[in-house]
Amino acid sequence: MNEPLNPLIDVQHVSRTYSMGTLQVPALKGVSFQVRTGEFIAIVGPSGAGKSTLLNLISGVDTLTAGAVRIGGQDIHQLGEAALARWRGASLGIVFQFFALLPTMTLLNNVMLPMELAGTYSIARRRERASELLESVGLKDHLHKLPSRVSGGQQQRAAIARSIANDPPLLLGDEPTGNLDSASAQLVFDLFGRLVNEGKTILMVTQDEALAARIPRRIELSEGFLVRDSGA
Amino acid sequence: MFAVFSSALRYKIWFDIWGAKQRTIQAILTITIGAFVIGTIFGGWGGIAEDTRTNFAPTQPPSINLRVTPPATDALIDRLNRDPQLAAVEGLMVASIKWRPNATTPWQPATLQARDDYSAQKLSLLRLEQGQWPQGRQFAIERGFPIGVNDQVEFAIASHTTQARVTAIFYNLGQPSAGLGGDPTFYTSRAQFAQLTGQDGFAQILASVPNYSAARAEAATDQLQATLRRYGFDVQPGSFDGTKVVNPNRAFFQDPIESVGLILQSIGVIAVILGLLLVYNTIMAIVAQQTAQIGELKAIGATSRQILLVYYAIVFVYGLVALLISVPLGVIAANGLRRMLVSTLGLKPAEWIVLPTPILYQVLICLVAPLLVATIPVLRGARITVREAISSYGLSGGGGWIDRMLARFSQLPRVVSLALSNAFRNLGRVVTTQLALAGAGLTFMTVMSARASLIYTLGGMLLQAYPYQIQLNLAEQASLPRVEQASQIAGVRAVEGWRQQNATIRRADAEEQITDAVANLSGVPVPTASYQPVILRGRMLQAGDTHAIVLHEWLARDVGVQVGDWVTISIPDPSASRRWVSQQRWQLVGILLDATMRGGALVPRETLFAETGQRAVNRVQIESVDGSAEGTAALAAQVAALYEPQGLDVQIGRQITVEQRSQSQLNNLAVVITLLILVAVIVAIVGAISLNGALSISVLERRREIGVLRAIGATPGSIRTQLVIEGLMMGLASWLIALVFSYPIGFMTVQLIGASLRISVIFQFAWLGVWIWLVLATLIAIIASLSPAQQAIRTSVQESLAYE
Repeated sequence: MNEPLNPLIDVQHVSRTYSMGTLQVPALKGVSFQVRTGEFIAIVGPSGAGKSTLLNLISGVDTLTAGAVRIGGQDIHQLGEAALARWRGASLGIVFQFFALLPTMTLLNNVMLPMELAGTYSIARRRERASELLESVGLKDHLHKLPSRVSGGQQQRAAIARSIANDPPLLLGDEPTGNLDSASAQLVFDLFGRLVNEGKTILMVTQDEALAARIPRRIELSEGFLVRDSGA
Repeated sequence: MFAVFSSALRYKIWFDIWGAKQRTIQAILTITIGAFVIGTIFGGWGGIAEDTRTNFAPTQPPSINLRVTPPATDALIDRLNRDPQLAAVEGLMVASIKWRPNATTPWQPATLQARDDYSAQKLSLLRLEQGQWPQGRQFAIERGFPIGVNDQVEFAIASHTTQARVTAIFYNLGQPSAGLGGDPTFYTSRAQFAQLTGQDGFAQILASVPNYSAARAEAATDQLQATLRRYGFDVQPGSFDGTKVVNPNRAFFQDPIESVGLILQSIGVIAVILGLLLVYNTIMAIVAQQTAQIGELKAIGATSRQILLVYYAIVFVYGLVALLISVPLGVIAANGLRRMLVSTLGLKPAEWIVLPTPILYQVLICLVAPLLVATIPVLRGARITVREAISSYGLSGGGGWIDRMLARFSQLPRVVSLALSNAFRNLGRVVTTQLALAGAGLTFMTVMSARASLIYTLGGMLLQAYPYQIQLNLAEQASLPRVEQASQIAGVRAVEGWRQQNATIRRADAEEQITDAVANLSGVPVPTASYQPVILRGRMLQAGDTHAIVLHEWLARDVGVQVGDWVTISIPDPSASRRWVSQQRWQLVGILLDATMRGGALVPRETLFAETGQRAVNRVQIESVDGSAEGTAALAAQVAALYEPQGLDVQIGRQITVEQRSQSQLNNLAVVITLLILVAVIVAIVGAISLNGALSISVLERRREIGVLRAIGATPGSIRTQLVIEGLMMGLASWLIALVFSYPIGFMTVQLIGASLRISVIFQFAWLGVWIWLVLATLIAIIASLSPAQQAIRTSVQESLAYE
């Protein structure tokens, strides 16, 4: 595939080395790739390959040792802490393996939270939108339940609803189906498919080979190197 | 337990202590503060007792102290010395005089004393501080007054004035020191005393009994009094606190000092408990946070006992460091406090006193108590099964009733509801944190109420009780028309003459005893316009009353009478030709409250005139037009100047006006009030550390959750806001809890303080304390939440998300 002229994500020679006392442990070594808007990408590789580190660098929750990550033309690692947080709130949705819903808030409030943090939508509209999003992921009857009162699959669907609360163009999933039974994993995967069809770009770390096989583009990491990119 | 320090687990212990420095410092600090406060207060008060013993015992305090009229002769003293019931007897020559340092200053009251032979004192020994024992025309003065050796002073004795040179400084522990506001006592030779006063006898008789016991002293006093009366002497209490029988093993100031110590010690114990709550919270948090680690340790073969020892070892290290800091600091502070208070009491403080008991308390507080409070969380942690331990993962908690309730208030901003929910998420910790913080607030509010109550009782209430601002005591009695001439002075609005009379009082159905209480009778016009005390029970004297009496609260308590009861009042005959000039039954109609009138009783003036057979007064109450302190003081001097040329000798004291008396009382309590506030501030600091600790623990526990929040767009500012709101919630909740309990606890504390100081204190609820604590609680909450907030922000999102 030819390199896009205006990629949504441009990862250039990204390296990340962790210091453990006097020991330097490289997690990513000069990884480069680009992603166009609307792509659905599986990031695969064995444990310790650097998948989650890559995702953390794309979301800006971890810092680079070398290289650059541009998203929508913006070098996100040049942003300050607060600006980065605001950028994440508005432009990015993250779905975690362990759902990471705030346990003290209802599903509805969990979905409203990113809109409040980013200051998007009117107060009345936030509520409406959160309800719509939860309804769209099949949680219409669970709006006012706390996370502890619903199943893991339902929690993950709520987490997906939360990730798109601010209608970000980009979604990152860190093994979002890793902690779900196969039926729930299928539901979540279908949801991602639907979102891609709606124009979202999704990068998903997964260890599930069967699932990865169904994703159009596959980026494979091993020992910190990008060893294969099916879209390159 | 110590074996664990040599095992591989010592690395884990070290990491838990050193790796979480802030948590370690907090835990050590709270234990240290508690142990320091206890070391200071117990050490200080123990040292005061030690200093009192070493200062007081060598002075050979008497167990019998009598004033006799007329003064006793040498022959009588010699005869009493041969009485086998008495170990030693010594006569003192005593006279009330006036003195001034120079002709430009007003006369002030003083006492002139002499002994037969200063080098052969037997009882209440005077110690020579400077100079030599007075001989011939030489004079000495009690130490602590601004007069030194070779200073010249002027005395007014009867109608003569004389110049005197001070040649020695004495140290007399038998009377209130200059620091406690006592008037000076001057000493001279027997010959000089006789020449100045015209008296060569002993107006005061001190005696001791062999192998002192209260019963033996009372029996000996009884017999001594009977003997003296048989010889025609009037016998009155000689001790300045109005007693005849004295415990020689206790200084006069020990009761109030010990009571104040007890109050401070109680607050110190509160500080310790509050500190231990933080230790409990800390260990609870460490264990909760390390549940997975515990599971892993167990999975590889660690026993519950080994795990128990790991956490005990951490607590032991906290306590050991606290002990090493608090013991020396406590010893230094206790000695500083002791030296300050002991000097105020007029004693000579020892340079350093290090007592084992306070140090033992500190050892218990630092090493034993933390291990005890840590036992519950440590046991809970050690007993957790491997399966339970390793199954805890991800974001957990929540779903409690607070979250369910908050879920209904969906209009609340999410940041606020999240803060609210988090603040009360771990109810166990909320309870312990609130105990610490609300306990601190409660202590602060209680101390402020105690302060307000003391100030009101000794200040505002006193001024209300005495609408006539000036009280002048006359050396001798005068007719009413003569004293009422003062009403002609410009600036005098009204004059009222009172008759002051000493008497003994007992229940009407009781037999006369040597220990019968002394009542200072005030014969007042009925009704009196110059005195409006608070009447606790019954009523004030009213028109038509004859043998009606209103007693001071403490006197009524000492006599054991209630309103409606009858008492026998025995008024001694000043001429000593007979024992009593009057011995009558009076009915108690009211009980009054007045912090300055302990031992006082009000009776109708006309009835007292009739009982004593003299229509004369010896106290003048004057209402000034100019109510200012300066105005009343100036007017008092004018009145004295009017009386004195007419032969009305005014006993000018340093406290002529109510304002001055009030100020003097408050000055005496200033140290107590300052100490109370100081301890309250320490308790507040412990509360602040507790809140900071609780919030830090909460941040640590929610590190992953905070990471998620930041990953979905929460800025550092919004995280900080959330944590500050959490802190504020806790601070405000503690304020509310403290407010609810502040009235009843404050009331009870004020009653205790009143009982220990033997003054009736009117409770005043200090709203000022409530508002100050609101501001303090808010500030404490904000300050205490800033460092945990910073801690939450400082950690990278990636680290937070990876955190277990």
